Amino acid sequence: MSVSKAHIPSSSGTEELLAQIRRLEQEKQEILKKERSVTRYLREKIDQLLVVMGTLPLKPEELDDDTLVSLDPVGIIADSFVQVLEHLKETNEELTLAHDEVQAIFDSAGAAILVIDSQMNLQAYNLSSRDFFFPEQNDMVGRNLEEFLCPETKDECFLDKIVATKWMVEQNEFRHQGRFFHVIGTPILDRNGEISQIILVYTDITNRKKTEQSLLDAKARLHAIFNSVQAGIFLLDAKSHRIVEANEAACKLVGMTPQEIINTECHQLFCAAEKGQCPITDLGQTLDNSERLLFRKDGSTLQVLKTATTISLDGRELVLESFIDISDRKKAESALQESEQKYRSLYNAMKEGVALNRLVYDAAGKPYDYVILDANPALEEILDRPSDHILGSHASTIFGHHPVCLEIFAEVVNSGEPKAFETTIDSLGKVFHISSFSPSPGTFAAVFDDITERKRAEDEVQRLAYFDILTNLPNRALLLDRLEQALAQSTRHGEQVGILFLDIDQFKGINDTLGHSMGDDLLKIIAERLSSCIRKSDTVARVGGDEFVIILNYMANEQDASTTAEKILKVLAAPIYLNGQEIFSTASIGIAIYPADGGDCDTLLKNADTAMYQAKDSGRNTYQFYTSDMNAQALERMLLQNDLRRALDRGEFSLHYQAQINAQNGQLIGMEALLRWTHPTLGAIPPSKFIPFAEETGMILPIGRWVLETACRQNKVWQEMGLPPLRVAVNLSGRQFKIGNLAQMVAEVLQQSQLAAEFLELELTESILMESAEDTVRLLRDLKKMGVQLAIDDFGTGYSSLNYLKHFPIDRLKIDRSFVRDILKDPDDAAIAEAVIVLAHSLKIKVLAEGVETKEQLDFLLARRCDEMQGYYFSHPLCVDDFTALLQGHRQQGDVCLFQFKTPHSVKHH
Amino acid sequence: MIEAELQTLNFDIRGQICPSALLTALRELNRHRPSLKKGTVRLQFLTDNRDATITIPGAANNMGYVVEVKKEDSYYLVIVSPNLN
Repeated sequence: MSVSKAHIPSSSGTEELLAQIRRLEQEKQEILKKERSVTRYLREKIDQLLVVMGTLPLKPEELDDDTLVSLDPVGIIADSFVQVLEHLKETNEELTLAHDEVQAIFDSAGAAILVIDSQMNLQAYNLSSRDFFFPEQNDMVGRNLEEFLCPETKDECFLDKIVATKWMVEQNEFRHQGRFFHVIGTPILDRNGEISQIILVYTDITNRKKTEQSLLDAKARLHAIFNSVQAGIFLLDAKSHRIVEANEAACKLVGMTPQEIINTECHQLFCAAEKGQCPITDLGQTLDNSERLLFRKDGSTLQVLKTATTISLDGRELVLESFIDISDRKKAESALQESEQKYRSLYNAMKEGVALNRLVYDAAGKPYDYVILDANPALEEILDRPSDHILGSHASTIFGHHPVCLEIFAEVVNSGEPKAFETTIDSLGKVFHISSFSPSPGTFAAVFDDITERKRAEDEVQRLAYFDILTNLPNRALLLDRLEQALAQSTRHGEQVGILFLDIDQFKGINDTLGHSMGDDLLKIIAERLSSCIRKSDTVARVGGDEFVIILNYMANEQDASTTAEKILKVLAAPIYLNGQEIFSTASIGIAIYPADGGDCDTLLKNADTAMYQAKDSGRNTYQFYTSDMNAQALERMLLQNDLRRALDRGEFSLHYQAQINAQNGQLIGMEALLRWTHPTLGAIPPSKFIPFAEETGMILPIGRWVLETACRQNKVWQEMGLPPLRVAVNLSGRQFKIGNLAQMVAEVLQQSQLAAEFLELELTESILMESAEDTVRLLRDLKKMGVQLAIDDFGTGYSSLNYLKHFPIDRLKIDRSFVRDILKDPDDAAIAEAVIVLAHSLKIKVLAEGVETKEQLDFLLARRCDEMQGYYFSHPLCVDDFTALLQGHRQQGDVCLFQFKTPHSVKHH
Repeated sequence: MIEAELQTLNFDIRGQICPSALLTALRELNRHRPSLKKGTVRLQFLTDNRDATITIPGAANNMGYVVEVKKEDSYYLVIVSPNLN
């Protein structure tokens, strides 16, 4: 500002001027003062702005007031501020953007992030924290952390640690509502180093924990499995082959503790001979599966099946070896092999042919053939082909056009059910029993049992069932069949049927005397003769030992039957020459006529049988027609048999005695004891009627003993009565001879009765002597040694050769009454009697003639020097009392000759 | 390319001490503001005042520019470049 001095005022004016000047001066001072004040203010504000700008205040010497004004610092600073503010604005915008970005990141973080102040009040949180800790809630800012998120155990609060250390703290496992978190708390410190905020980052590790847990579980499970499996398991280091782990089974199998086993080289336990040859590590196999020996701690070995393979575990190469004890299996295998061997040898050795076959089907699925897959040697033999011609061959080529039993085998395969059957294979000409079964689908096994021979034998048996083997005549079964037919046929034609029941007379004697073989020959000849007597339409059957039945068909009358019977008797009467011997056989025939004598087979045969017995009773060598009263006799026979059993107990037997005379002087020399049976209702029964039954039933043994005891006792009684001592003769049965203890029995009886042996004579028949000559000689000698006398009864009726007699210690021969009877009429009988006497004497054996009834007979025999006699001429058999009387009379008369003796009884026996 | 188009304006403010050096620098920054904002120039101040190497970068930074200080033999080179980010 410039001050102008152009106008100078007057004094007054001056004064005024002066005053003006003063005023001006004053104004000037005022203005200067103002100006200074403005400048000062300006500087002050500039400095203030500069400070704000971040620089030093202006120094007056650096910038004078004028420059200051001209430089216009205010303007510069103002402009600069505009720029600063503009930049600030831009920066703010960027910051806002950055904040949004951070918030977005904050919210999108998977971890829960909380920002709390030092008082634990929530300042900020992200979406994840809301989801985890306070879902569905807003406005959590300002809430205290303890209200909603606190460790489940207070004393572990890691925030305390942060506060204490003012440093980042990590908690590995923070649990909240069943979830697991990993937490990092980071404090933010203010300028004073105090905690202003803490940032908490919660990472959800629940899944990781679960995974960890399931890994632990899996590991535990694996461990349990590892130790509970039956198989032994080793883990080996692939390089060193040392065991790093072993399960319990492995330890047990080896017999070592886990401590002992760990670090052991596997070669010491397995494959000891193959060190350096490990299939896995040395030979490059990925898997080894082989049978090995396990060397156990106790030195024993165990057969094991070992599996080895490599595995990678935690980056380490290992060999996993597992092994199981197969010793039992091995044993079973070898047992199986043995069994297989056994069955194979059986298969090879068995006589039955065995074939394994497979069915062959046509396109329609119908079996039309079968192939033989396997065959045993027996089958080769049956088929008469070598195995290479059998195996693989079709049955049709082996058996001919049609495969044998194809349909049956197909059925076996189809149903799976085994079948057994018999069949004839024509191409082989043989009969087989075939068993077949199907061992697997489509196949069948067949066992061929050649039963050709058996079948033949069965046929033979079948034949034998209807025919008598010996004579080839029909047997009883066929007879009944034929008779049945004959009856039916004759009924239709109004004809009669004759049934002839034939029994060979005294065949038993023939059999006993000549032996069974000759007996059989005799039967054959008789059978032939019988067959020759009948028509073709008739039947001759053998129904028993010596029994034959003849069926005469189409009979017009009974005469036909008697004609045939007579013819038969005549034919049989012709002598038979056997082994150089001449044998005479006769037969007794009973005849029943259908329909007169019965309406059925059984009745007719029974009645013919009854008639036959009647024929026998009437003296043999004859025939009898059945009459109805014969039935009564048959019944009587049956009853007798029953009563005979009780007769001994009931005391129905008694002994009669018949005198024996010295032919030279008529003196009584002994007596024959004769058995009598007095039946309570039937009265006296002749021995000829009951002795055969007694023989048959064995009753003869007790009866025989009773006879011996009674005779001996009675003889002793007579002797004790002072009567002259005589010998008593007792008949012996063939059966008594056979039981073996006859000598002992005789000795006992003599002992009991106190009778001297010389007063007992045993009478035997010829047949007894001939049956078993050796034994008999010994027995007779034993008896003879005792002092017993021996006689042969009924001599001449049998077939014994006189020549035999010299071998036996015989005292006496008794000429059978049948010779004596006709001795005067029949020159043959006379010749025989004479010859017997001469021969016996030459052997120093006495001869006693039985059945002497007349003076003429007596004279004839006396003339032939017969030693002794017995018969009605002298005395009938007498009861004890009568015989006692005879003896007493004899004694009184002294040497009375019995030639003139009269019997006290005229009762005739027989 | 941008670097190539960038024009460097030199200002020798050696001899001036701080407030004046700063003000000078500020005046130039204000004057070239449009070009700086457009990114076509950069200002290079030669100063021998140590204070200025602090005050000029401080102010320029507040304005949003990029500042580089280089020590030359007998002076400092304060280079203010536009912020191209």
